[in-house]
Amino acid sequence: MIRFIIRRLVLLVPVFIGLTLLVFTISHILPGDPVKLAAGPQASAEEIASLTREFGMDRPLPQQYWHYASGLLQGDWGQSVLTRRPVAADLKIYLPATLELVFAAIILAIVIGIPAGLLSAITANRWPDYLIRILSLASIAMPRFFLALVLQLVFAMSLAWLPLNGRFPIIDLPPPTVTGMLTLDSLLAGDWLAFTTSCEHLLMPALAMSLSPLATITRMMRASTLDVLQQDFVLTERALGLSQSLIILKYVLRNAFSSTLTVIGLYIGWLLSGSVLVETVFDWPGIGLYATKAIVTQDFMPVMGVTLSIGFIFVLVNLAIDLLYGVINPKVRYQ
Amino acid sequence: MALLSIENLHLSIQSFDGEAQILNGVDLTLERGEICGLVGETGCGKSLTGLSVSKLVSSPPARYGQGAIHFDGHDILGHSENAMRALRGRRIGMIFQDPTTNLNPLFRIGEQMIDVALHSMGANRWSRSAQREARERSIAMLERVGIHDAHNRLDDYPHQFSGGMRQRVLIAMALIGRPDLLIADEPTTALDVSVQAQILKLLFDIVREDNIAVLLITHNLGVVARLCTHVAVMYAGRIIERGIMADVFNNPSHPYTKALLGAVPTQKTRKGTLQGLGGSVPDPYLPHEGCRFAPRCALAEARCREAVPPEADLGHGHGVACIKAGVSA
Ligand SMILES: Nc1ncnc2c1ncn2[C@@H]1O[C@H](COP(=O)(O)OP(=O)(O)OP(=O)(O)O)[C@@H](O)[C@H]1O
Ligand code: SF4
Ligand SMILES: [Mg+2]
Repeated sequence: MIRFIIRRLVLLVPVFIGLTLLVFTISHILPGDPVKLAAGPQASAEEIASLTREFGMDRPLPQQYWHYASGLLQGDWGQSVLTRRPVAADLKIYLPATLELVFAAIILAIVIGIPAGLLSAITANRWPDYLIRILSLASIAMPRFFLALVLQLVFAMSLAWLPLNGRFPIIDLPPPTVTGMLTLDSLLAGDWLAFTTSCEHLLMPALAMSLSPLATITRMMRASTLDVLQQDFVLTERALGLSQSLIILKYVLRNAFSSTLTVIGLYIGWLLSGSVLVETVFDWPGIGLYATKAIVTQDFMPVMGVTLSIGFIFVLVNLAIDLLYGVINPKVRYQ
Repeated sequence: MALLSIENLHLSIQSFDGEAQILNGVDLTLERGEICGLVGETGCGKSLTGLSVSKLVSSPPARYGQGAIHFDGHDILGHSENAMRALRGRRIGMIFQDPTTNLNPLFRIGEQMIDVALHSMGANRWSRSAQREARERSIAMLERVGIHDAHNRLDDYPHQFSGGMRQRVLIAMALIGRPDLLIADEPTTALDVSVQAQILKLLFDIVREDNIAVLLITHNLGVVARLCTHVAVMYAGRIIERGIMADVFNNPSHPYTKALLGAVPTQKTRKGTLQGLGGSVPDPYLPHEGCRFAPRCALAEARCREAVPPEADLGHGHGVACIKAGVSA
């Protein structure tokens, strides 16, 4: 187990070297000059030249890369040309916000999708199944930003049950930062009011974001449950008198879930990199918004920082999922 | 009254190709202590007959027509799922062909076995003392089927056992409730030849000790000759000959049985082909009248095709469904 984790972590090193190289190269061969953009239309040639020198962009690319990579190891993620803020400091604020959103979305998708898929399978081709299938098809077809707008219209504007957007009211006191995720931090601080406030803000964006993974998990779960129900061991379990509920909720569930698990890992990466739409609609201060701003101004360092951290989290999440898979599936564990 | 009696059982299966008549009037009885071998070509309906006894055939797509199954006073086909659960694992045990697929790979042997034991005891799953008792019974039963160090092996997963050992576990699970009837559907077909005999001996030692009636579905006539008290020969969804094993083997009276027994000694004949028997199994999707063996039967004549031949009794319960029963071929 420990050796497995270490081996996987060691494997991360070449992955990250590759990732930084790739992102670095792509962002530097793109046409356009970020410094020019940052300096503004009125800047003189000398001003631009001095800025370029200040950010080290006059040096040859390999040297720039070396500078960046060695900085990373010391926790220096570079600096935004536009705001001049260190990228690491920005990420510390924006990344947890997005992570909180993505985790909430995936938890929603799991908590709803697993039972829905299971129910769909055991009522296959009867009305609960039809209903669930139609709903999941509809939610795959419906664009996320559209659902986001509908949610806002209904729950924030008409019913006024939930706040329209934002992450935490400015006038309220946020919990002391530990993880940067407000829900967790307020729980850690034992601040119940802050917890409910942050949950209220989190609910709608998380729901909007969970739609697509929810639909996929439901469909995967339905398919794998149907598959498991055909297995010989289910017949044996029935033939020896185990109750239908025990068979489904204990024996079939674990088998079906283990094949749904990999999709969940992939989805976390997908949500992380595609959070910008939902963040925009709900004015959620996450890395999606941050990265988009950086991309349009060709601000390399934040873009690279975001890409690397998403890659890093994606790999970690999938490592965790592999470990979980090993917990569920003994055959994998002993290999 | 017989422990198990299947009377004129009809079963059809609905599929994309239409409705297939799978069982066409199966008649079979089994008394306590009897071991009946059920033999017949692939696809003739042996497994579906066995599953029907525990009402495990899912309908739809299957549909029962005429006929009934009685097990110790219970009208099986009329029973609800709950009523059936009270019989399964307690009064009727089952073993299937492939031990690698019949154990759940994600759960420890002990976990699966204890759940079966708890059900067979009729105990509350959440009671600690019942759990402990179920565990002890499981260990005892595993020891009985020859699994050493059973209390440690309860914590092992199926893939940590060999095929033969897994089948022992499944035998233990099927018999832990001390059933009156065991249905064993080709229990050794998927095993290495070297362990087949071992497993069969083990199974039949327990069955005789506990006086359990057995319906043994098999392709192996040698096994029937060695272990069974009775035999029933099935063809195209019907029992065409049945009786005490020695009677049927010494005096096979249906042309199909004769062909089947004739096929035994030659080891070269491929599985599924019968010596001196051309043609193949009839298509269950096609409508039919009369004796279904007629197209392959050397003795067939016009009247064979007119009506389904009734079962003639040759004495001592030796029944033959052929109008020429007793006539030598
Ligand atoms: N779910 C199903 N749908 C359609 N046809 C089925 C289904 N299950 C079984 N059958 C058909 O019913 C017939 C009898 O099947 P059964 O499994 O009882 O045969 P069997 O005598 O046990 O054969 P084998 O010796 O190969 O195990 C076969 O022709 C099979 O194709
Ligand atoms: S009834 Fe006729 S066709 Fe059928 S087995 Fe007997 S002789 Fe052959
Ligand atoms: Mg079969």
